[in-house]
Amino acid sequence: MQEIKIENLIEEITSFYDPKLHHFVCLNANDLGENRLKLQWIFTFYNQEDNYQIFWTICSFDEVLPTITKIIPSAIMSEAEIVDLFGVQIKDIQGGLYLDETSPISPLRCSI
Amino acid sequence: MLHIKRFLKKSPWVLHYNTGSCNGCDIEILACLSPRYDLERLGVLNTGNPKQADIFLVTGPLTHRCHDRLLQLYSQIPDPKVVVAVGSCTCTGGVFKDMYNVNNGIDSLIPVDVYVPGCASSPELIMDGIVKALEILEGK
Amino acid sequence: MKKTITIPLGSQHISLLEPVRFNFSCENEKITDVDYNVGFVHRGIEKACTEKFEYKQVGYVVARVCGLCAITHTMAYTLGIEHILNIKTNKKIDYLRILMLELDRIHSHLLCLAHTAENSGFEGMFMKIMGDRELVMDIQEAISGNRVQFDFVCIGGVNRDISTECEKLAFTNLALLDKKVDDLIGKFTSNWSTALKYKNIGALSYDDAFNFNALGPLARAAGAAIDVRAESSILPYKEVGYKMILGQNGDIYDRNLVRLKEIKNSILMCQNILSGLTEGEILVKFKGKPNGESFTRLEAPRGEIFYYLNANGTNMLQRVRIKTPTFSQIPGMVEIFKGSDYADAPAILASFDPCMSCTAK
Repeated sequence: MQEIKIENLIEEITSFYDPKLHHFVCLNANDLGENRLKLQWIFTFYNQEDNYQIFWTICSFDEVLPTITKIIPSAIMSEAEIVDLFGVQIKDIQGGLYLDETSPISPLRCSI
Repeated sequence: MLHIKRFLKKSPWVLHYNTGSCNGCDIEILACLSPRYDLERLGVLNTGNPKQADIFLVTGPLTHRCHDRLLQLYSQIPDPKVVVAVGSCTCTGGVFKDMYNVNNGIDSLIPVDVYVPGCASSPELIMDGIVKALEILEGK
Repeated sequence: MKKTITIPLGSQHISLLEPVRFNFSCENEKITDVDYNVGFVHRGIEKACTEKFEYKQVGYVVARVCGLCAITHTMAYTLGIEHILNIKTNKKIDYLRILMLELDRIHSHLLCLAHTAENSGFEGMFMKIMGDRELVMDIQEAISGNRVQFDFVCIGGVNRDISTECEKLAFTNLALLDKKVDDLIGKFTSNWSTALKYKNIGALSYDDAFNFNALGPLARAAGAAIDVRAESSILPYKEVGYKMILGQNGDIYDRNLVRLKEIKNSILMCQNILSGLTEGEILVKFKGKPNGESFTRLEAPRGEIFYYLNANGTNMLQRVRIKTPTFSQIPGMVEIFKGSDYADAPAILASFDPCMSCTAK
């Protein structure tokens, strides 16, 4: 577990991530209420038993978050998912992966 | 005079569409077509074209995004047609009932002729449902 | 003259079990760009797990994320909640769980192979493999009582013990299937329609497998040794004879072979478990309510499955995060499609073994 600041996200991930050594599992979001959102970028190590490296931060829903898709292409799915389900804003990531006009807006948020 | 209904019963073609089910019923429908259960002995063929289909097999609780597609497919199947709802979630919503992106069963949108329960429906049940559908098709 | 035309595949298509839409932009025969729409089956299970169902029921709800790897979902959830509740299971429970996981893997791989054969235009092979698959379905039905959605695993153990008749049936059917898989390996290495035509089609390179976070058979066919069964010690896979199976070129041909060899390995594991099974309790008693968080990884038939659970000491969980194999592999799939012929698209798609119910939850 390592806490990071959202401004430093790109530098932290760039300096840490090596595609041959680390496996990006997913980006996890958890609404803690009172406009606080906990984000966890979860990595594991190839060929090591149950070894996680987790970067976490707490941000608010008003911030525009940076994207790590340029470093890890498969992160686009996780990011598009939390844009849809939590209603956060991520740079260059569009919503609409799961939800339509008839669906509720950001359903996984505690209260709006 | 051409007795089209008599022949229709001999070779009913099936269109299958998944509106958000867990895949369980869909693989059982595939298993129905396999040699053990062999639905083809009733003349049933799986088709991808709604304009050639007689029986509409639907699985899943009808998600919001599948809503319009289901309606389109249903309206493209020529009359007479029979709709078979396969699986508990297709009939009533089942385990997915009242989740935020589902409509609690396809009968909220299109008329259903045969309800096949089960989670997941066994191939025997699905075949029973199709045989029942054939009777209804003859009467329509 | 090059002119781009757009050809859609899905959401309703004969070669697809589930609704998914790909828009292929093609120049002549070659695919240049792919646009995907995977959210057709989004139901909202993650929210229902925290608001509608209590933690003891969630295991059976998450099984309905996907019918093909239902047991893997229940298993991953159960291992996570057992970690929070601090429940220690005995060896017999672990072995029974691995047995069902591997039987599920066999039937899922066989379905994928049948589907690939069908999409390459070999209907007879599809029928043959689906016929062989019934041998495994029979074992599953005998052990758990249901063919597809077997709610076998529960918190603290398993719901049913294996009777001697089941064991006998399992041994007979597995031995039969083993011979049939040998036969299939021959057909998938020498037959033109299922094998030779697909050499170097839909290939993923070794480097791209890492760059795009490929998982499961997709990665292992490219030679990347990525398998949670080797990286996790939650379930005793090493004791039952697990072996990593790798391909070389990462094309459809190799993916089919990796799946077939994994079936062989899974059959061996099942036989080892069945012959070494001891008497013992199948359910461990527990009390208390979960409080804490857990991260669980498990190898589903398609790759790594990941569960994040957060509990706050009540009957309701605070957050359930499900990450499934197809979900994170879609950018990699798009990369493989680019540069392929459009005519191969259904076969390439089937060889990924995509699971959209998993992806959209």
